[in-house]
Amino acid sequence: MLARIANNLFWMARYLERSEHITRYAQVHYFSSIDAPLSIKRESVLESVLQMAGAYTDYVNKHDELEETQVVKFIGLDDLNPISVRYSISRARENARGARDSISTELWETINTYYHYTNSIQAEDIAEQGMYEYTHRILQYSSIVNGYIDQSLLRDETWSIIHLGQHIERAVQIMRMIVTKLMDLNRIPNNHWASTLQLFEIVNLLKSTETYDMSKIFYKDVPNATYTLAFLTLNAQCPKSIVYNLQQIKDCIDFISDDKNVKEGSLEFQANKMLATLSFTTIEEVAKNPLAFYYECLNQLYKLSDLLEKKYLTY
Amino acid sequence: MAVDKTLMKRIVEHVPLGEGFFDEIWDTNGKLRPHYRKLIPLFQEVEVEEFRQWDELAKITFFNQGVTFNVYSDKSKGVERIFPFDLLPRIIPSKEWEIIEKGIIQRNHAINLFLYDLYHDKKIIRDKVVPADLIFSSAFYNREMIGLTPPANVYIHVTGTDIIKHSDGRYYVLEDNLRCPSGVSYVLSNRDIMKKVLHHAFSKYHVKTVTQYPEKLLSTILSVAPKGVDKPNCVVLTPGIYNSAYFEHSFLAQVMGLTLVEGRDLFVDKNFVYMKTIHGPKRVDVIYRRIDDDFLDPLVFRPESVLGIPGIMGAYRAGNVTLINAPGTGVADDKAVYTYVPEIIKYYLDEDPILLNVPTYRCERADELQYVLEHMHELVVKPVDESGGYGVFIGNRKTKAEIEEYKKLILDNPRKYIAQPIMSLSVQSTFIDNDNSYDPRHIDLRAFALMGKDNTYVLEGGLTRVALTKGNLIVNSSQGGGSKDTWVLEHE
Repeated sequence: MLARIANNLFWMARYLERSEHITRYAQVHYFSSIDAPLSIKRESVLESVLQMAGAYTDYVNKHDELEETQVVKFIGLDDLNPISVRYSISRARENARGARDSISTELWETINTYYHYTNSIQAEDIAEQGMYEYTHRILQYSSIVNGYIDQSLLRDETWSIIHLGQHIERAVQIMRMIVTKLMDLNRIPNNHWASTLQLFEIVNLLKSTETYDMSKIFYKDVPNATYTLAFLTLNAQCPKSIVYNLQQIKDCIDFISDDKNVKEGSLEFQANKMLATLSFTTIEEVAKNPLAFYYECLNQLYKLSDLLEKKYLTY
Repeated sequence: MAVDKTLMKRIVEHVPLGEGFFDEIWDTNGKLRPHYRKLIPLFQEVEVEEFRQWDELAKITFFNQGVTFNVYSDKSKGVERIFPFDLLPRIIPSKEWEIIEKGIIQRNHAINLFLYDLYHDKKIIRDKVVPADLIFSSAFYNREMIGLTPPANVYIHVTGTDIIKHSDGRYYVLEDNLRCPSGVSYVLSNRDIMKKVLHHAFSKYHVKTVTQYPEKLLSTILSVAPKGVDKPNCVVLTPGIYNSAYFEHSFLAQVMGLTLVEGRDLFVDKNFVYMKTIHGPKRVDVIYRRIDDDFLDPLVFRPESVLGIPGIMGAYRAGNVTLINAPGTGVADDKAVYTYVPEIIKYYLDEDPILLNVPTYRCERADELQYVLEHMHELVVKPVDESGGYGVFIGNRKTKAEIEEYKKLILDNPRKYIAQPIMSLSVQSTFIDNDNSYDPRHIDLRAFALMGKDNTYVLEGGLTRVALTKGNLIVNSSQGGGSKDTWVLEHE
């Protein structure tokens, strides 16, 4: 496989995955805020969405106030905002177009149709049809794309590179959501509403990661912060957990790699080390200083991604 | 209340055209030609609203497949548009197709022998059948090819012959496109979409398939691999995603299962070509290149080219890689050299041409130049080295001042121009959006052919191009032309 094509496919997958998570986070928070407990201010929900997407600073540099329509435009429709859904899908489509010969017709046509949909939607359309229709369509397209990735591609290097992109981005986005939610939780005042508000934020986190139903089936209990973090971080059965995604990342790298001897500091070393470390971490260790833990995990994952780019994606 | 359909205006009607036109569908008495008798009623029975639904389905399918081009505006990114496509297919009866097919095979065979001769013994020049000046002054005569024999002696692996039907009802070759002819992906996409939208129309005919083209192209590519290579690594070389034909490049690579590469993905080491894979260099044996000769190798041709691969001509000369088509084939589709194709066929094959050439005046010859200058108003004058309909001068559409202006251009460089009588391209009914109905428009046919080690193949269909502006004779997509599916019938 050409290194340039591998680069295209890797970034195609990352952009697709990124737009899915940002959309779901925005959707969950938008609808939960409609009937949120009174002390949850609409502005703090909008801020949470911007923080999770990594767009808060850019937004406040361009706008005077946190206003719903502006945030939706900025996150969803802004051609020039590099984290907007439209921008991400546009980049995903350009990367897919550059690697058109390596992917199936079904996958290409879905990505292309997905792009035309996001490109055609205007703020007035969202105002008219509602947020649900817009975000639901995007999440539907994401599911169809993921289906075609799994059902219409040979299990070869192409698939492995796409999966690497998906799982790296998924792990990053899940951690960004956790970090954002931890900060939201830290802001809750210690009064008699605290437990209600905590539950509100925790359920939002589970729904934003599409793990609400899974976690209920697994725990059969009322969600709490500890089990939610354990589920999203250490549960190897949960397809959104960090440890699950690290396992997939390691498997993909093993498939692609032709290095027999794993050297310290290499990509293979980094992938194995991250997975082994997390596999033998307890939730109590995470809970000691959760923010520091997730920031460190994110740094390690960025390092892995850099090693991957240097080794396979540079041309 | 039931609608009386007999009172409704049909979207396709016979439009009397007068003399000098050949209508593909109706004869001069306004009667349907036999091969259209089952098709036209289908279009006449449909109401505009239903037809619009067919049309919309076709457009959406093209759009979602990415069969589009970009129109750049002042917005940050361009607006994507599909190439205009007309749902009424052009039908070619089997007997007429036999002539086209045999004619193209004959023509390409002779031209291939001609190219070999030009780059080896030059017998045809020594025998004064083709003037030496004409060849050596051609911008496409490639000195790098002198003495070089490509695998299986094949130069023109892929060709796209432009053919018209004149008002006399006979087929004429307008151009032999021997370099990187494009358009075949539209033939396949058009058919694919027609089968989805107008599946019921196919049941009335035995239409020859076009779907085997990718396999035929792949076997052509494989057949000319360098000697000693058992499992050749073949690639399609594109200038990149911003090239106007990128859809076609990626489409062909994808349907053949080959890697689509750009120049920056390849490099040459010790006269072998390699591609940069995730596991390091991998040797490349055959390159179906979709970039022009000039851009192939900056060490030999244009030094500023960033599309090409430095050193690739050295690898080619050493026989370590095959280029499809061979460099230097453009010398034979120079519009001035085209005029000699009948003599070329006679010289190498001792046969009369099956397909006619449009009578052509060569401005480099003093007597013919004089005739051209005196009859500008009734001629089409073309630069010999342009394609895509650029620089074409149609005399009867020009003012006196424009004619005088163009005369100066010709006199400045007579070798650059040829002139032909204004051929009346046949017309076929084409849906005109603004009128909500069909109206006759001029059409031509680009027929695609392949030549490999032991095989020749003519795609049984081709791209029917249509000039959408009333009376316009230039059908090229770059000039706003559209296309139609082309049905070659198994039998009538």
